[in-house]
Amino acid sequence: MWMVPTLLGIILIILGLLHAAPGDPAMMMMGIGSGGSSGEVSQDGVDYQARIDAFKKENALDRSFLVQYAGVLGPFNVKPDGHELFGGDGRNPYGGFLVFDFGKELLNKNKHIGEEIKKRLLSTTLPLALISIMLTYLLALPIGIYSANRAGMTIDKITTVGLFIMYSIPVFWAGLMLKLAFGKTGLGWLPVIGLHSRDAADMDMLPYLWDAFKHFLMPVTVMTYGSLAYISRQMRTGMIEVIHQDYIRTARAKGLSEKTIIFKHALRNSMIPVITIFASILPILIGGSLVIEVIFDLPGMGEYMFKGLLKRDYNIIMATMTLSGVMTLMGILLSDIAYAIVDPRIKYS
Amino acid sequence: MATSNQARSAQRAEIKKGEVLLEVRNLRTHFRGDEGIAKAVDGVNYSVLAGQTLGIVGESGCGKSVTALSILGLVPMPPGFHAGGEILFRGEDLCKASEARMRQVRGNDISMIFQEPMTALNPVFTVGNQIMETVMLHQGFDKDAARNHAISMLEKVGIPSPRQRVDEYPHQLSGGMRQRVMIAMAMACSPQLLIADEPTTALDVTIQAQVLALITDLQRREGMSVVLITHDLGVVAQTTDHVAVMYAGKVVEYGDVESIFGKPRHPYTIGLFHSLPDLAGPGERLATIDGIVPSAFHFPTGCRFRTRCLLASDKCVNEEPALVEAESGSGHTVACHHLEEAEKL
Repeated sequence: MWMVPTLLGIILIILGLLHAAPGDPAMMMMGIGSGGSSGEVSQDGVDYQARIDAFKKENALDRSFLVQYAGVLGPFNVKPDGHELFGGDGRNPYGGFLVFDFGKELLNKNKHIGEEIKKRLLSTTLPLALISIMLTYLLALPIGIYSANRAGMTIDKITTVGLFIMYSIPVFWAGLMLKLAFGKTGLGWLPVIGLHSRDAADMDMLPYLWDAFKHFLMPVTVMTYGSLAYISRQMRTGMIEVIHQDYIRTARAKGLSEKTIIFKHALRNSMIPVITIFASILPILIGGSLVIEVIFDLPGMGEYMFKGLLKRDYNIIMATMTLSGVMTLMGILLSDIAYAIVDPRIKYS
Repeated sequence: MATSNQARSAQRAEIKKGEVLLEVRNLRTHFRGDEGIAKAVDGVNYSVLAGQTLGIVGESGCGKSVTALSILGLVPMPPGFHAGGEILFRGEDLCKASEARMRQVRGNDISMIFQEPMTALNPVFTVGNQIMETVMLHQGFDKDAARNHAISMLEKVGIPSPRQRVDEYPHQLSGGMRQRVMIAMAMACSPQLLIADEPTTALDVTIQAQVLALITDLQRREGMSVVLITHDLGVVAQTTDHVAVMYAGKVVEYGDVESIFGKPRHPYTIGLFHSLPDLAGPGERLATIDGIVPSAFHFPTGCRFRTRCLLASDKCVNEEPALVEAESGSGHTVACHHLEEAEKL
């Protein structure tokens, strides 16, 4: 239940940030860039100020901050074309975030943001994120366990250095370098744009999958390597801490094999810190894949957010940022649940 | 289950009560450290007779626990390593046994309970699961049989409503209960030797007595041998048949409990008895042994106790005293150059 007030707070803060940030959608629409030329009547006789005022009125941008906040949240529609109940003319009844209605794009009234986000999530962002999370955990846990059991040996030192290098490479740099190396500019092995070739729809099953695989390879790599490095380090630390616990000595004293000790007695205990990290990884992968989606030109949610930011389209920004907030909360909730499953000392209540 | 019990009792018949079950001969377990080599255990000798209890006494850091861990091969290596000596269990040298063979011995023939019941049980598994694991591994019980066995073990160690407790997690039990669970776990395969490493140190005084009574009671019923490691002389007097007094990685005095308590010979043992509070007399300052235990990296030459001993002479500096019988035929052995003077202490 704590999630509802938290979410309301998140929305409030996002809206506040938007209003505090420079630039506004009306001017963007008019093609007036950043300051300077925003005179009342320009030389070619167009009354920009009148148009701007009309646009602001139409989208309730001239109303007070709190009224706008209410307008984002629920169906108390504050725009002139909103619900009749709230004084609008009913042309464009808008439900608000509370009923999962994200409205339409500010600058393109034909596009429903909700539908656009759904399309982008399903086609791009979710597949990428799921593959990346699975790969991360599938690789990170064994790497962590392996190097924990060889702590201090040469192989562990090599892995440690390797993981640290991976962890320190910035995503945008890695993405661009991979593009340069494997794209047309370099070896020419992999496509560098989008998730499918243009003629993908006409392909058979196998070529289609192969095509998708080639397109996914680089974005997934770039999405995965950082969290892979981080989680395997965490796993290693957790494992090393656990194998020095008294109960591991007890397990040895029982005559259990090293395999049982590591995979039964140590693993579950050392999973606890790794699960906590899941809460922070999920939202980053889903909402925060902005850089990767922009670099590889993938039609995902991050790229949508980026477009919204460039156009100052408040509606897009509000919707995508709020969704990111929801993802964070979901991540926390999921990791809490997983926590309770792994550790019996934590109770649901 | 019946067959395995018969097999076990047949096996057990090989060793009669009073015969030597475990003999530690000149055991040396050392550790590599930054300062050089720590000789944590450096020439320990003692034997445990079938059906009897051996008490090992000594200050913290004298090598009591490392000796016990060496018997089960549980000393972490590295940094630890076996520097010499033998551990003969029913005639088999455990120092030479393979890791696979040691796994058969651990928990089945020799089991161990530890000092800290709060941390010695795995927090994420039920106590039942942790007891069942041992019997399923060593006795080949299936899940149901193991569960029933776990319940009967919990009952045996005096845990009320064992049917309910078997599904509980360690954090739901008190310290005394957890130590009982540890005992149930250690006893689950009816071992021939139980090593109890300060089993009561972390418990309340009232619970201490209960747990000790439980161990001695189980020992009598099962006919197993016990190595009881403690620094509590009262516990030793109550529960043991033989006593080994350890100082700085060595056994300095060994004998049956009557002769050690009746007539301690080694200046260190005498010092230990002097430092016991006298309940009958008026409140006095407690006597102490001056000085501190030397570091295992730099033991003194000759007799290791000489730096704190009132009787230390040149001979003690140059010559290490051997463990010899104080009176021939008594089985009471002492490692000291000044036995006659020590009697006057």
